[in-house]
Amino acid sequence: MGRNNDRISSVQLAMILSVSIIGVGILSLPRSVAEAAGPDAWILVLMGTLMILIIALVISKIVTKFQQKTMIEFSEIIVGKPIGILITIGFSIYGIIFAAVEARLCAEVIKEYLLFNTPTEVIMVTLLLVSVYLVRSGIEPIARMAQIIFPIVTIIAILLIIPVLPEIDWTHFLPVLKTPILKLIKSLPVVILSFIGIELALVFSTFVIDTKNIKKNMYITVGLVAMVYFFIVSITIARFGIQETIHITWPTLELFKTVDIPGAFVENIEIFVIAIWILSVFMTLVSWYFSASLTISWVLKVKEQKYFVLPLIPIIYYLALLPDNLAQAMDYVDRFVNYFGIFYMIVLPIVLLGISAIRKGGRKGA
Amino acid sequence: MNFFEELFENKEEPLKKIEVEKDYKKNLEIIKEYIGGSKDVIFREFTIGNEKIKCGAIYTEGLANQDLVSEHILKNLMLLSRMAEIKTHTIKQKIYELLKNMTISATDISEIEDINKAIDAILSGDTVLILENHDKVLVVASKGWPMRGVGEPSTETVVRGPRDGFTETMRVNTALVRRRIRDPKFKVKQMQVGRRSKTDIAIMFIEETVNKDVLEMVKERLDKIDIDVILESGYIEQLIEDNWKSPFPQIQHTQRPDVVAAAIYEGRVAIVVDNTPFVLLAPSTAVTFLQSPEDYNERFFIGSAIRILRVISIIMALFMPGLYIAITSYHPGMLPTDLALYIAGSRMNVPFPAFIEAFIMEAALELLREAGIRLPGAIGATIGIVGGLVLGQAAVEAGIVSPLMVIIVALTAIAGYSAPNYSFAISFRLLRFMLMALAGFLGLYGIILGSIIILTHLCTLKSFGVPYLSPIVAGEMTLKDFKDVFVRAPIHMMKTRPQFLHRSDSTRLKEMRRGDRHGEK
Repeated sequence: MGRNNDRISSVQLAMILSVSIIGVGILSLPRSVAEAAGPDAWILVLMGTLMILIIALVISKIVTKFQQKTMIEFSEIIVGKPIGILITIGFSIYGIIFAAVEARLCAEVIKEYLLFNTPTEVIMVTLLLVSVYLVRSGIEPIARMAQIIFPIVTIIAILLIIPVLPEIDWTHFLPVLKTPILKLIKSLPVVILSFIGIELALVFSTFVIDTKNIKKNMYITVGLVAMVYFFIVSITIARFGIQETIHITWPTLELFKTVDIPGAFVENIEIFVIAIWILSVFMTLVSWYFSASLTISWVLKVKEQKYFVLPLIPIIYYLALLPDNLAQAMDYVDRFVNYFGIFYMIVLPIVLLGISAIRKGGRKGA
Repeated sequence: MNFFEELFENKEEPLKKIEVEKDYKKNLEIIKEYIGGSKDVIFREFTIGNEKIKCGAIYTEGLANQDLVSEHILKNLMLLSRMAEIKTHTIKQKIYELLKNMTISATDISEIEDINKAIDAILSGDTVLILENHDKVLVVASKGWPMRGVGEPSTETVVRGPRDGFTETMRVNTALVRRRIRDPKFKVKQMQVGRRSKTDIAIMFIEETVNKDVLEMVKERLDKIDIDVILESGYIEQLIEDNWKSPFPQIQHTQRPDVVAAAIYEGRVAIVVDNTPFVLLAPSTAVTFLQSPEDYNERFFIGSAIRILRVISIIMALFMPGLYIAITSYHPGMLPTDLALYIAGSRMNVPFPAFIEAFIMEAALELLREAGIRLPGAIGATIGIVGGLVLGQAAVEAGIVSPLMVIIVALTAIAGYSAPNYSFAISFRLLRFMLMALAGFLGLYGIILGSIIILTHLCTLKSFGVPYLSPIVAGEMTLKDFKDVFVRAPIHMMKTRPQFLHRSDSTRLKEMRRGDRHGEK
């Protein structure tokens, strides 16, 4: 990357991961958590966060062990060349599908709340074209963008929630621990899957200069995102109650719909919230898009990832248009992304770390 | 050799050297061949002393101080030298020492061997003396031409702060800065750019605080310039900036010596170009374009408040017309019902869609601005009144635009003027039209897309290797740097220089407690 656009700090990595994790999922998270755990939703979020912390530990162990090595390099070292290449190719497919999903869901939300008559295609094409600009510029601008967008999104979201506070009813969370523990554990994947995006650390950590801080900053990432999730879930449920939350498509947006800032010039805050949320989804899209083009360039051993950005547009666009409607799109998410996600987020890091530990142990014994 | 000497070491001159010969006539012939034939180059031939040594003085009329030439060079050589009683053979042997030590009473005099350099000296205002039977020529510093005095700069005016501004003469400008920096480590390195114009350029920095990477980049890019003429520092700016495709300026220009001095203290590099009062500062980031010297001169509450006001006004200037278009044509639901109805009512007679309406008004405003700048002062004010008041009022009454639109346009115009840097404000004027078009096309979503494009561009942009949005996007987030971004922290709390410039000596203020100043403990 000619202009030295390939070095980020671990703080910047944390920012990229945070904005990548908070994407489309946050709009429906209160619903899925309420469905799974009822009044104990907040406990579920906390438990899920603990699990994610373990995953973050595993991932950071791997990437610090193979300092500044790319994903294809360290997986080839651990499990051999063919499987390493397979893993990387899988990741690029995963990235492409995820980018398509983000683009489609984002377009659906925009169509529902902002532009009622504009065709989804136009929204998606414009979104993709704008993201190409950022993806082509490389990791450093993406990191800087994340550093700007994350504070903007969280601070504005928190500020806008404050007027809701007088209307919330904490009794919606009573009785505590009504759900059996076993059911809670069974529904853990709901929360864990909302942290999809943390596995991007496997790809992006090759750019990080200060590898020794990666672990700390991944914990910070999980902490920040968990705080945002906890905040949104508990306040949404406290505002609407369990039953109502379950039956709303995008409960988080509905929460902002009820915001009525006294004496404000602008009504219908949720339009404004969508605008801010687009920034966050855009960053998620860019991260996946970038990781897809990056992993492809690794597999093909091409130095520049730039060349693969534009050719990917038709593929992402086609995949994004496959589902007929929102319900089908959500169904696709469950089917593909969740399996891919569980593989790359949980299975792969644990297996890689396990094998490399055994190998190291074996070498010591020999 | 240390870093700085190595960097500014004299590289091999590409121009071929013409040796000065012993033959007086021949030397004169060569110089005449090069620059003769111009009325303003004066060749004055005379003889020195009783020995009648032939001598020629060559200078450019208007560039050389004629009083100095006649009083201290010609008079001394022709008349006073006769009074000195010197033996003939010493004159012939040590003529240079004699002239330098005893005859010519000018401050700076030197001997050179290259006729090309002599010609350069003549054309930049010095006087060249050719002597009989001497294989070197003498150059006497006699620069002195009519120049504008140091006056108050017309741009970047402040209420509280020094009133002196740069002039068109480089030497005066470097002196104005030197007066503010008495640090012996403050260096002024000089070079010439332009094949024909041979414009003098001075690079100023403090050796201990400057970011060496930036300095090296500046020198390297200046060395690469191979152009026939440099008329203004804008030429240099455009030739050495990082990204010419960007609407944002990446090098700051200023007419104020105090701004330059402050920048040099912070570790930045200043480039002074002869013949222009605008000095360039590199690297420059978005934050530096929003800082005005007055922020530091006022107390910190006021300084911070004004800084925040400025940031808000820049954002307003960028987004207001676009938001108007998006809200009136796509999302009237965002407004309170009464207001939405009122706007719809006021726009009832307007025959255009909101985008065209806004575009007409903004274009008219830009026209007014341009006319106001080009017209002579007195008429400029009239144009403002006629254009702004009369046209606006008439346009509303005729039903071409809605009253709200006029308010928005006026507000954006005022907001746009509050940026301390003209080039920076101009780029926002341009981007406003892009946002308006996007808003007309895709509503609020278009504005978000537009801001993403602008943000992405700002994120990719660098000024001499320093990210344009530093310190907001610095790799290592240090809260220290945020003391001078949106707010201006009290001076006694700004203990370090901006980290993002990675300079070597970061201590700005030594340990000092507030109590000490008042004698309390």
